[in-house]
Amino acid sequence: MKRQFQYLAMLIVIIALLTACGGETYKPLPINEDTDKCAICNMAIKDDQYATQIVTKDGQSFKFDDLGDMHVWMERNGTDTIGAAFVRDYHSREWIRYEKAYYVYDPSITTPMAYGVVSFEKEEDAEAFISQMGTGKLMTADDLKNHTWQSTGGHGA
Amino acid sequence: MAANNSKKVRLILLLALMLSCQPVGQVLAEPSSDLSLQAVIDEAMPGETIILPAGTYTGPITIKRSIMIKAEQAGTVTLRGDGEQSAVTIQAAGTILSGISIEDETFKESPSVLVTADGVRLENLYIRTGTHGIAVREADDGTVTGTIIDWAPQGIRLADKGNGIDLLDAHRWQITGNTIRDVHDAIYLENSDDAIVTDNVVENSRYGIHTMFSKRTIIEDNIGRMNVTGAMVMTAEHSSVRANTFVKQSENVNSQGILLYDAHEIVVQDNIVEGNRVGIYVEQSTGNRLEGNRLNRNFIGLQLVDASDNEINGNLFIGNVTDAQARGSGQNLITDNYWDSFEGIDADGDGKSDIAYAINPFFASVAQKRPAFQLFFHSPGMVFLEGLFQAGRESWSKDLLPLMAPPASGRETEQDDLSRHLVGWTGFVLLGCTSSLIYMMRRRKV
Repeated sequence: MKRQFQYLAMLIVIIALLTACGGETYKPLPINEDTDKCAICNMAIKDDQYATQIVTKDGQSFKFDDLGDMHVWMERNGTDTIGAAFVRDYHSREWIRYEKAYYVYDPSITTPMAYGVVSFEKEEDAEAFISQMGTGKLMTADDLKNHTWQSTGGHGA
Repeated sequence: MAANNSKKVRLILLLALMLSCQPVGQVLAEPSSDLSLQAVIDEAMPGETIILPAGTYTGPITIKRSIMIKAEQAGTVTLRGDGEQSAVTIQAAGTILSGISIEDETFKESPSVLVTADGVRLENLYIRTGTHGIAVREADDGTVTGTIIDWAPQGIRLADKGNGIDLLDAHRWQITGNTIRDVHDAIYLENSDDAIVTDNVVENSRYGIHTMFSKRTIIEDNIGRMNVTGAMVMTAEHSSVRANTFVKQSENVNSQGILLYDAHEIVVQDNIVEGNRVGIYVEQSTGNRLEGNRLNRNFIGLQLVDASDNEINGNLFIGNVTDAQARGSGQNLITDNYWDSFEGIDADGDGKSDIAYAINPFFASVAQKRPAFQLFFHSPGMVFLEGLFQAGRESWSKDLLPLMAPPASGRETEQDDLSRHLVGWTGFVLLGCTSSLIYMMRRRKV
């Protein structure tokens, strides 16, 4: 009886450990302004609302100074190796999941590489941003896949 | 009340005009505390010149008519910016500002000098700023000459600082003979075509000269020291980077002398690129010509990443830890460079090696896949492994006709000559000391 109990306890411990190992383990790394550069355009990355990041399945982290450059990376390298992608909330500057964020595009929005897309955690914040600007297009991560990414210098020139 | 005020101003102007022997059309402003500079500016007629006597004036000022404001004696007139506004806002085309010190040390958003009108001339200014020194927005055909821009507030991180000269949608600007220190980007051009950037000194900033989305920029005879990157040319075409000197861009892990990214049809010629982490870095760029540059004592002389159809010839690579690194850049025309680490064979005596100099992509690829392996830069093991790696050699970047000896011509660094003399004289003096020591302190026979 006692031995059976021991087995049971051990089984519970093992199951608990295995569960801990699985699931979501991709964590975004903080931005170090002194050393981090954009994996695409080589520019120094500012620890601001425009920074984005991809963590690959094998644990590498690629950081970008602009959402547009992260998209360039996805085009070049495909999305199969991506464990998780992160963007920043425009206001709080906290990392949020790329798939769950809301996006606003307008050519007049200034971003580091002039792609003109900013990200928000809450849909209402994105809508408020659009009404405040008087222009802008609300998008989800799925919409971004069909977005024509253009780095134009911000003024449609 | 207002009428009263303006009468007083006019009276002072008149008095000043009578007292001074200035030619007609010039106004001598009075540096008295109850007369604001703004009031004098508002009184001036277009085309008039306001000459400021020595003293300290309080800003901010806004110039709405095309006038000239100059210091009676350069270096004696200070305009003090105050608070969140720009110290100087120029909204009138053809305005000239000359010889004034602008102290605008508040750490803030709005630039110290904001230009939104065409044909503005800024000459011999001294700007101490806590934001962008000079920002130009949608205004063309201006000049900034002989101006010094320094960063003022202490303890601000590089990433949060403002730029020295910041152009956005501003075409045909001439930026010549300025000195800019300790800012974010010393000279930043965005969406600004046909700029001429010559004879400037840019130091201790993030990027010395940074161009984005700008065409036909001329970057010549500038000196960059101790920046993260000397010249950063991004998304550009038909520009030239000529006869500049970029030294010691080496203090940051991402430093380089000159960087081309998404740049096309750029001529990079006769530059001296010395003591940088990477001398010249070229990525995703095509149709560029790199010729006659001297790449001395850099950790990596030339780095090519996914760059093709560029012509790289007549460059000198001397004393670099690694002359060149390349990956994904097989399709360039590389000839007639001198690589001092390369031992060629010249059977036909034409001064060019009969065997090509191939750039092994091994380390560059390893470091790309696992950035931490950069620690093994030039470690004996890595050099050995690189020697073993020969796969796909035909697609490597290679110099087809490397020079056997450096060409006699080419720009010499001034330091070379000086240091050579210095070494000679030091040796001579030391020799003298030793000889006299031996002579005087020797054991004499009793």
